[in-house]
Amino acid sequence: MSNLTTAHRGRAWKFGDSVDTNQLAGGGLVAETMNETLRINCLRGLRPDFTEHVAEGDILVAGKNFGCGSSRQTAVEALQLCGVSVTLVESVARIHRRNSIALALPLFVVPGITELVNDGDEIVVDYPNRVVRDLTTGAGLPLATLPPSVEQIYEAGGLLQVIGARLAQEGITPPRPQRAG
Amino acid sequence: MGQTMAEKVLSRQNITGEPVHAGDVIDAKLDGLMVITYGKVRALYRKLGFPDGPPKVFDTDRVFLLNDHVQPGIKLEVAQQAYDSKLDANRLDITNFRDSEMGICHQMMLDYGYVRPGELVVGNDSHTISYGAINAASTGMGNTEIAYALAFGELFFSVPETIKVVLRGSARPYPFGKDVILYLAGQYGDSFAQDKSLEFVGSAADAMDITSRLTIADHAVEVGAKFGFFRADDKTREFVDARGIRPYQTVEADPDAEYGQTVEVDVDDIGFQVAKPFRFDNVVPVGETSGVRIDQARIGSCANGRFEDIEIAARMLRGRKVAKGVKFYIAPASQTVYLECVRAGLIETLLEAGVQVQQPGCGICQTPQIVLNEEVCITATTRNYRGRFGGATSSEAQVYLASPATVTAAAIAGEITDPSELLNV
Repeated sequence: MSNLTTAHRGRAWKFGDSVDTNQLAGGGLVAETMNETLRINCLRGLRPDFTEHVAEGDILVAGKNFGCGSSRQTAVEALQLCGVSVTLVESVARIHRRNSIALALPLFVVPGITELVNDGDEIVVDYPNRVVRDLTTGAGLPLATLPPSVEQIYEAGGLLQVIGARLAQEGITPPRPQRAG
Repeated sequence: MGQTMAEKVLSRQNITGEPVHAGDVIDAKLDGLMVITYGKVRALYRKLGFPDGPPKVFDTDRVFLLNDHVQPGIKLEVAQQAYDSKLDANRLDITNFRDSEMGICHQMMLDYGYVRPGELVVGNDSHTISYGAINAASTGMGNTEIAYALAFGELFFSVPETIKVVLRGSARPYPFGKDVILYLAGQYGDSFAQDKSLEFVGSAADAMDITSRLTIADHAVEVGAKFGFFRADDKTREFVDARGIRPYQTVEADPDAEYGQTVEVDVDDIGFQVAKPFRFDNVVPVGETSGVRIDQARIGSCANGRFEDIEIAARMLRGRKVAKGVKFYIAPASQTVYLECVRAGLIETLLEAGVQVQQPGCGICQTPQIVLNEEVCITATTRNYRGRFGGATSSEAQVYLASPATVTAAAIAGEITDPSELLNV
């Protein structure tokens, strides 16, 4: 999924400061598969109704230091499994930022975003036009341009694809042809 | 223009060879890569179509493959992961592979001399940052970046700005490293060093033993840091030389290095600190939590599972008992640490006092027992986030963080209390 080239529209789910990776991917309830376990526990400790009501394409808005704590990449995977399309934060913990890039989940640091957006507002994140707009209030904020190297990882669909491409450049390819899809 | 420690290490490792300064974004060559939870890294390569896992590693001597987080393998996936890692270590000729002992990866990195001062090392655990205590530039990453680094031995870095943290005073014998870093978090917040490098200097930093430095460097990530350096001194050299570490090049900041901020603390003024639920920066002097009844107490982890941490507990527990109704868990950080504790007679003292001595490893931060919503735990481990000891279903469980001395005093009293008396201050 190349997800910087289109605008994302969805309901905003708003959280506070220092949402740590234990909240995003900390376990608790146990489901049949690891992915389902991840999904049903995501943010449950802070907001028990989140996983029940979050819909594909919704947008997460959070305060300072989002994603602090353990280096768990599952914190990003859990959000993706919940259908979250973009994360907008006042500031982000460094490992979570890198994991979001590696897994190609768009994450933008937008100072003032928690002032701009109320929980439940309909918002549009339009990276091509470098703007985030709250459709409920009509207010907007600019999005900063990501470094080219980061854009490239998003365009590739994530760092795993970059690994595959670089190995291929070195003449290392999977031992049997991969089926499409 | 002079350089900070971070700028020096990243200049040395910069692929282009150019000197770097804060704000630059570079590709850097790694000196070492620590890999844990290998099954997840392997699964990424399988996703790429490599059924046997990674087709190559960048350096067979500088990849450290350690099975630490979940031992023993009582779940099928864990046992399978351990088995696969053994196969792959053999196939890829990884010389530094350990799966037959329990312990925390970070402690093993130190015990076996895998990390050296002045190096750039990454690992797939946030507390990889702790090697800054021995003057290394080390930091945590997620699994996909580790998978990338495994094959290519490099990663992109933005060169961080540095905050100089001047620790004045003597730091002897108290407060402990834990109190110092909790105090800093309480004063400046849990993201005051976000994306930055920290350099801990000053008379108290010089006076601290390596164990206290490790506690502080380990927790540098709890205030958001990318690196958390101490200077290399005689104690550092003694520590690394005792582990037979090969030639190394320590790193020192230039006198005219540029700092984004300087923070000064007189550690002799701060006393014992406690972080209340649910944040590392929700810090108060221990007195403000006095009388809080506890159900569990813990000492261990990459933050506080070393000989000196456990020795404090044993010293305070000698001739005393853990309070009725309190479960007190202590886990040495590694088998090497465990053996040291056994030889010094500490384990006997702990058992006599009613402590449940746990196997070495990361388990102390997850298990040994869920803290229920109705319960209170005081712990000298890494974090006190909601659900840290049980997940989303125990998100109201109250977890307090403190030094091993404060934890032990609470375990004896059955409630949080100032440890001064038991420490004979």
